[in-house]
Amino acid sequence: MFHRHYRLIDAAGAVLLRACGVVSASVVVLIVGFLVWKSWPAATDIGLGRFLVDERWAPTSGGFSLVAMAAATAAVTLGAVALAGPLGVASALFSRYYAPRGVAAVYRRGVELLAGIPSVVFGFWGLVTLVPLIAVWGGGAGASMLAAVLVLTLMVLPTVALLGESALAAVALDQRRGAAALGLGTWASLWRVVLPAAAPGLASAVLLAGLRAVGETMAVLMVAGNVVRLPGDPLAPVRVLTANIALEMGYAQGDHRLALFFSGVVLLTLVAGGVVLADVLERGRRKAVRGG
Amino acid sequence: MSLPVLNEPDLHLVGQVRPAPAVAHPLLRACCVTVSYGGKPAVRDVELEIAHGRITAIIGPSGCGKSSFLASLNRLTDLIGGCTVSGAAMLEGHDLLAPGVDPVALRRRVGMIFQKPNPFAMSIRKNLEMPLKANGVRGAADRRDLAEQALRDVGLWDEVSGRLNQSALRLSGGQQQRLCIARAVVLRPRLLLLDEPCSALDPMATQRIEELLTELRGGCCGLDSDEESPLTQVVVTHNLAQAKRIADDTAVFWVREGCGVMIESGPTESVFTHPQEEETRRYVSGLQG
Repeated sequence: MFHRHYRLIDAAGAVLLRACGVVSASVVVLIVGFLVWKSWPAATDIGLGRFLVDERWAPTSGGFSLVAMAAATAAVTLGAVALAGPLGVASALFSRYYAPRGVAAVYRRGVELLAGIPSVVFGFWGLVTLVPLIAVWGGGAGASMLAAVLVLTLMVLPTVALLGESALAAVALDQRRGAAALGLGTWASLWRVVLPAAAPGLASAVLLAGLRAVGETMAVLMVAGNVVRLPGDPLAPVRVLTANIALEMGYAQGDHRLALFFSGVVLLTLVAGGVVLADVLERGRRKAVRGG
Repeated sequence: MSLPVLNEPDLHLVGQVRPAPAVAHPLLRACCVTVSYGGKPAVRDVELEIAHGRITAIIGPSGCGKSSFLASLNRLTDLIGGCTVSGAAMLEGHDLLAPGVDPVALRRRVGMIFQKPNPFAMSIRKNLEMPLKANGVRGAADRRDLAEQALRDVGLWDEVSGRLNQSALRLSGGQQQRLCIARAVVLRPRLLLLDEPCSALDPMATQRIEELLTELRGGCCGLDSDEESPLTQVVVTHNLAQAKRIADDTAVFWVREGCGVMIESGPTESVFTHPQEEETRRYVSGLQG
């Protein structure tokens, strides 16, 4: 009697969990499918080559080059990762190994809070504080690639710091004791033993931060100036792919609309590539830990 | 207070002035050593002499403070939050528990091997060369030669010479433990502490390690490779047969009134055949513990 009862609950639970799994997986598939379906005519109506070879982005008059905006996305992302990577790893090392226990707890809460601030708030802060500062110190309008890089750095810093700290925590205690027993001081232990062992985990933390930076729209839109041009001078404005979609989708028609959908596919491809790379790094980390 | 010998940063000088190994000449003398966690003593008032050039086993039931006492001898207890050590441990005339002693410099002279082999997640070669580099051995050729010598000392050279650049984590458990011993002896410590070095290993690997430890007691080559010097060792073990096989001296720890104490010590032969204490007699005859 009881056995039948439990078996029924087990069966119902399995069905429910499978249903949840199917729903979340199909949402991803549907979004990708929708994006590809909506942008498919871009290949036939506009021609994929034109996204590369057209001279400029002027979608209402037949210019469909995404090169400047893709380059701006890459430059802003790389800039933010280059700053947030070392800062985030240093922050993780500080809170894990150097901060007194009480300080570390408060510090970690602070970093978590930073991670939870909505991006529009970062954008707002950038707009009223950072942009005027850059205008004063660097000249020009202030809204610029530099402003976008700095705001993004702050936004992805907690990703590196928090994921980096768990990568450091995953380095086994016996490795650290082993280093200490060989006469290595704190810094030497970290530099020569803990960081090499945590390297794959730290690399995937930085990569995930980069993915977040690629996708960030609102804060960048608010401070980057949004002029379509190849990135070069850090004080000059740039427009990134995500900001372009947000700015123009409201009024885009026909081929213009298609081109925006297609830039969505480009972004998705970039992010998917990053996810695959993160997965490869994660396998590398497990392998290093197992020694296989 | 400055302690020139313990703070000696130059490894090339370490071990050059060696007293002749005399029988039962103490290398280390522990006086009233108490190790406490959060104010509660785990092991109390240990009085023990570690004879130069000999292997001393510490035996006793679980929870009697053997490992805590061992870890206090190279100040690894400093790394445990809430752990305090009182008393004195005189290593060649200097108290290594004194506040002025630099624990990092001390650990270069008092090495430690753990229960679970802990090679670093890097190649076999780098496992040996990295500690040398970190401890100031400058020349790459010197490091390579010393690493090879250390691998020969522990009998690993023939097994791994063709794959020095492979990850050390791919070695078997026994090989990993011998690599860890090589990594420790290459720094030419005066004293090597071993915390149940074989309890994670199979009987064959255990036998190799035991042979190795008795060979190292006879002498090993380190940074000044022409001269061999005996390596004093302290081994914590749960394996009474192992203590009988390899230890010259044995100390017995026991739990009395909820706290670890050392109840007797002496040459292994006499501790096992003529124990002074009733607990020792029951323990070594397998009746209790």
